[in-house]
Amino acid sequence: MARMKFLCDAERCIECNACVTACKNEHEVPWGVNRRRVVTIQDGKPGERSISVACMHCSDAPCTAVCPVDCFYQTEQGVVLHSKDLCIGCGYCFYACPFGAPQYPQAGNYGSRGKMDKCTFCAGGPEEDMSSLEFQKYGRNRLAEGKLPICAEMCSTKALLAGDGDQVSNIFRERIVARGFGSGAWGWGTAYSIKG
Amino acid sequence: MVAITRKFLVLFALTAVATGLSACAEEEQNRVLSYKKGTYLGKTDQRLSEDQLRTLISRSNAQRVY
Repeated sequence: MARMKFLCDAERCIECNACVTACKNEHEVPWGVNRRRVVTIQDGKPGERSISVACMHCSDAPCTAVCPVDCFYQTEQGVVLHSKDLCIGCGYCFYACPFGAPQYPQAGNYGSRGKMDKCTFCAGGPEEDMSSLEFQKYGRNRLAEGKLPICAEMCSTKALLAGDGDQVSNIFRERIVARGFGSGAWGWGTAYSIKG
Repeated sequence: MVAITRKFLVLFALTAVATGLSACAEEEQNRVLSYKKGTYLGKTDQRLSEDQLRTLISRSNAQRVY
């Protein structure tokens, strides 16, 4: 099995924000914390595109590199997770992450930070699988239930894909072949100087 | 007089130690305090079984919608 990956098909995303809502509901994410967000560019203008963004579970994750207490680890499937027992809420991972994935619940007066919270790819955390402690700290462990992340599984247009990287890649490749050249992943044209 | 003072001092010292220890925050106890750079020292996560992985692969394939 390859690494677990997310891929958002910007041609299909309709900015319904159902992935954001489903994530919050599934994991009972606290007020003020969004593990997933929908970002729209050129809103209301020609060429408008939306993309659903959360932790991308990077292979060489910057959050892991900068964490002063080494609270991050990767599962065998490449999911980047962290231990809230070790996290000190310093915010370094937030500064390092290019996607703005790490979130901090307000833990008290004066806006003090609580432990970092982020997308777990619905894989829970280092507590016992499907235990109440794991749910309380990290949310539901859908991977242990044999299910993919809720955001991708309930996406009505199947814009958000998740799962085994090879298969996600194959599905997207088939779509691109069907659409024709130049309709690659969001940012592909910018990266390879193709207009569109 | 000296004996009373000594007893008072001992009592004071014991009270100070007890107060100091009880003031330790609960979340400060049973946690990693000495870190090894670059090494994750938290709890170990459980691995997914072959059955679980097979199910996940089949669900990944089910996302193929045109």
